[in-house]
Amino acid sequence: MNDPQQPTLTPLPEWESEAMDILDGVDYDAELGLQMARDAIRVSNGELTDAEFHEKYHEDVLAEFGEDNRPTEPEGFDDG
Amino acid sequence: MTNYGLVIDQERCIGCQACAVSCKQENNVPMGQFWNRVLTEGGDKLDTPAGGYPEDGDDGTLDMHYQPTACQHCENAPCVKVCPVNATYTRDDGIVEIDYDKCIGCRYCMAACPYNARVFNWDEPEHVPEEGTGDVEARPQGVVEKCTFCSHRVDEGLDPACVVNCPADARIFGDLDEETSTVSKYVNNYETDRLLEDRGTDPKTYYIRGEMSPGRPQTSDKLESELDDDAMPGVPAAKSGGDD
Amino acid sequence: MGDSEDVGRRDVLKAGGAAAALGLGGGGYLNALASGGDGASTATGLESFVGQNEVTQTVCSPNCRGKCPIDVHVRDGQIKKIEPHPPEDEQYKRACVLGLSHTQRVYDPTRLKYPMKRADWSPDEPNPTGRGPEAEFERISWDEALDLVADKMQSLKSEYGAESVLFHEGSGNYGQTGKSFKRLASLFGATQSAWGIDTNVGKGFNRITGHGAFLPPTNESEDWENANTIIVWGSDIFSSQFQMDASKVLDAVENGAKLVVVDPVYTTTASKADLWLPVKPGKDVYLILAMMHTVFEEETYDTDFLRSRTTAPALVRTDTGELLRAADVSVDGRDDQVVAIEDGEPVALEPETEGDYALFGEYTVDGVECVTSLTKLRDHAADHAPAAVAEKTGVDADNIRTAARWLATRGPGGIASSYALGRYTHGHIFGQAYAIMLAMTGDYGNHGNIHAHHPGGTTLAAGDWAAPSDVDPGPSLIFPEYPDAMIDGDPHEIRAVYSIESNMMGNQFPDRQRYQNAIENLEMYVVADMHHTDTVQQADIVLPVPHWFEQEDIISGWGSHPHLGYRHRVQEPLWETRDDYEAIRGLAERLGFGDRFPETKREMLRELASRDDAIDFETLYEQGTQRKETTPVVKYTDEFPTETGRIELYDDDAPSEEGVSFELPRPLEDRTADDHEQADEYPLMFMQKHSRFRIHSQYEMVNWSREINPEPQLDIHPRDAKARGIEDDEYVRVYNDRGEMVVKAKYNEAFQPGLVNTDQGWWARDFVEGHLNDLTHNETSDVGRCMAFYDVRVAVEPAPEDVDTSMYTEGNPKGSGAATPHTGGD
Ligand code: SF4
Ligand code: SF4
Ligand code: SF4
Repeated sequence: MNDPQQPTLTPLPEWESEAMDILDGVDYDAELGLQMARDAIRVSNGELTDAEFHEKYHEDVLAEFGEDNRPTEPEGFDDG
Repeated sequence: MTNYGLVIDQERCIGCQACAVSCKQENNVPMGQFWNRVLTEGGDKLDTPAGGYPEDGDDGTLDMHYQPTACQHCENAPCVKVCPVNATYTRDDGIVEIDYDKCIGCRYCMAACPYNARVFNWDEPEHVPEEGTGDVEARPQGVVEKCTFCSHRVDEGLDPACVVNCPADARIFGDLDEETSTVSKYVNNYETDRLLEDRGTDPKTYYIRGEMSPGRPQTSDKLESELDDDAMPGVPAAKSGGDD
Repeated sequence: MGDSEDVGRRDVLKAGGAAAALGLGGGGYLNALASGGDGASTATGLESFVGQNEVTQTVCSPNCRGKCPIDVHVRDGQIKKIEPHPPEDEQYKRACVLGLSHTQRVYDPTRLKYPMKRADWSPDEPNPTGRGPEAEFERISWDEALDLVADKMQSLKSEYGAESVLFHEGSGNYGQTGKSFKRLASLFGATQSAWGIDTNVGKGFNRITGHGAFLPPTNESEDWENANTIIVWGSDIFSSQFQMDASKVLDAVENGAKLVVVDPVYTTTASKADLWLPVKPGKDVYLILAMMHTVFEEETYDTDFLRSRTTAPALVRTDTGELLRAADVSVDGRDDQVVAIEDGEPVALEPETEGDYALFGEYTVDGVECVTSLTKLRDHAADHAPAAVAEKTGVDADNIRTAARWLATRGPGGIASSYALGRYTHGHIFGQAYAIMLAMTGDYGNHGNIHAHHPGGTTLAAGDWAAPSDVDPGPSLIFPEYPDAMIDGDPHEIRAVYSIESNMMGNQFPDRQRYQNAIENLEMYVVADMHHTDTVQQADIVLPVPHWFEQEDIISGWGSHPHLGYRHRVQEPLWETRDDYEAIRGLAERLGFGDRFPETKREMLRELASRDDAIDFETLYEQGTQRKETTPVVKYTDEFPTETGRIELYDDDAPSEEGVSFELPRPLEDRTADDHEQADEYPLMFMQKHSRFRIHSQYEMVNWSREINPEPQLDIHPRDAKARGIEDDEYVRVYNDRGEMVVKAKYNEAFQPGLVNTDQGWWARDFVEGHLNDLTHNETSDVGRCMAFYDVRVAVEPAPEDVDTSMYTEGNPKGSGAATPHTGGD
């Protein structure tokens, strides 16, 4: 999976295809994983808040995994 | 609070792979997987430079550095944020690790990690020797694994294996919140970079480039915080900066 | 979808119960880590075993510059990991990626398990053509093996003389067994092996200074941080030589030392350098003469040193070219004393004596016209100005001057000269040249002086153990003489070989085909080893040796650090492996010398240790290491062991080669010469670098490093490759008039156009076709008498279409080594 000879980190433009490879054949929703991955970096970047991120994917995560235990859950979040 | 971080002095690193291999040994990492890779910053392949060989007696443009790369233990770790079952989490001391009992193998964290730091056990993990190595139990098929800063050692007052086994003293581990620690001094006094800083992940792995540091100032395998002052002979006062 | 019940979920089954109980008794070397976990699960859900291992301190000791004291961790009867153990003087803490990987090596399938005999060999019908890749072996008992060997040795002795048996000792281990091996050889009268590798440079240096056999002594590495200029000449010390203790050299750089690297290859070491001089292969003597030229021109030589410790002021007769002797002229002094001019008067030169001696000029003494030695040298260097050699050497003239200036004017420093220089036929000339260069800059006897690419280290002084004073040992043969002795009986016949600690004859010696032909002439070939190597595959009798962790020994720190180390046994010898000492003693008994060998290895070690006043067996045993305080950190502080007691700048008794006489270092090249007769047919020079993944051919099987470094490659500059239609990663055929190999091309800008490389230490099984030592040759120079592995020309072309590369292309993604070993021991 991770090649000891790979001389550098993957540049951003190629990251997406690498992420697709990683998620290929996964037992869960690969598209969701890809979107969440992209947005998680946006959270790190400050383009999105934890709460926004949590909210955005809460329904989908719940549907896909039957639980949503991400640490991004804001205080008092209603996970109804 | 304790906030563990790693400083890697690329001016000292000789690309010897001791850290990569002792990581595998200590952590019982399966064959074919690396938690810690010693990448070459240079040409397209391991141990090749960038640039051109000198022609007609000129100086040429060759350049090569080594960049040991493992989990950067990001402050703002995207891998943590995407984990639907909270298997990947950040400890109070800043170490990002995985609860393998919780991991369901969805690999969202791998997709989210910009550093290619995580590996997935696609097959039944293979170890040589079969019984496994090192001081921590092997992970099963179907989970994601990665560098833990050797949390099982840190919990016992020991430095990570890659740090202890670096013959160039190029790896320094310690508490970034403790201003007298060697890692804090080096981060303050030397030019350091972090990988892919533009992604805002706020990694706790710092790379020294430019002026070489004195490196890891001890021979003991203990955490710096566990040592008496006189066991730290190597930090010259002038370079150590410290409390100024 | 979405059923998370069991897909990929962690198997609840936890690995077995708590680790084995601790607390094996024994000396201080045995210790469990003081604090530790209780085997409880951590938050990761995994069991941690920190603190539960039984830890034994022992030593790793191939022929590297490590001799690293290490801790071996054992749990549940299984070796789990290796860590460095700081020796008595903790600053020498060390280990490399290889020593840390014994966890895999110790259980590797290549390990030999039982004594074996080649199936179609018998003492009377040796069937020599049955040797080789197809040979099959059958298991025999130790008694049978030793009886067969002893009987055959006796019968050869009575028929052809004891010297028809060769005792060949390699460099695979640095314990004390070799001394007992030599002892048995001496008692029996066998021919003994003498070193014919890497002695070249030291020979030249020795001729001038009286010091040096391999490379000359140099200050211990703890002192390197005092150097202000370090010129590493022809060595990638951060990959080989200093990789396990790189911090010492880095500390010097961090302290402000200038690091200069002279190398045709942009190595890891060159990548750290302040100045890199990309010299062309074989042109090193031109380059150093140009550096001398700069020192003369800028008058930065060390006048005091030249006057007090060298023969720079000694007069050379213009008529004969010989040094003027005190006894030749009316000067008070002896025939072995040379003459200088002091205040216009001739005086005999005493060692270590300061005087206002004339360094330059022509003088007439008793009617004999003379010039000073230094004048001779200056005139010689005058022909090699930096600008004049720049094109020839490939090095910019200003850079040559800068390097010379740094060495001469920045205080103490030195030249970390390498074995690689001696891997060119006439490498001894460089040894002579840099000994002189460092005399000019006064870099002897001070803190911060450096004379070789590895430190001096220390050895156990065991007196006459190897060659008992009451016996007359047999003759010796240097390695490159073996084939002639075996094939033509020149200088005498060799009919049997007993080999320990060596994979040379089957793998590491140059011109491998010739050595295989030579082996065919043997009636008996006995090989003792830890692994089923290519050499073992040639053997008639195979003696399985335990891994180092299953042996006890005293490890020499030669070339490494100033400690001796005690190798404690970590585990019992696996299978039927037996320490070489036991085999040697078993043979000694059968040959009638049993009483000359203590019954156990421990007793032998005790006996040898008692012969060295600087150490004490009990301390060494308990501590695991003992620093030998008699080993000086700074070398060359005393009178030089030459005839004059001084460094002899001008050697009037010099040898010559091919019509070139070496009173002064005169350049002479073999195959690197631009006009060499094979330059058109085989246009590329071929070297075989030591990489960080091997110590010679050891560790070839380590799975962890094979993941990173899976197969032999040809480092080639892209321009050279493209000119031959060779793509990156394509398999290529490398060939010359001796043989060929097929390996994968690696485009590498680090390599000088015209120079290609395959890292050494691969076994035959690792090559798609052939072997790197099918390309090298066994010819040596008259003076150097040293294998010239790098003085080799080759041609390269794309591999033939039909070559079968499936061993790598259909691979082995997990890096578990290449093909399975030859018929193993079981
Ligand atoms: S490097 Fe990757 S795995 Fe490590 S904390 Fe950062 S995002 Fe997570
Ligand atoms: S062990 Fe140290 S010198 Fe070796 S590759 Fe790792 S960081 Fe670099
Ligand atoms: S191979 Fe040499 S340098 Fe490496 S650990 Fe062993 S003794 Fe040390």
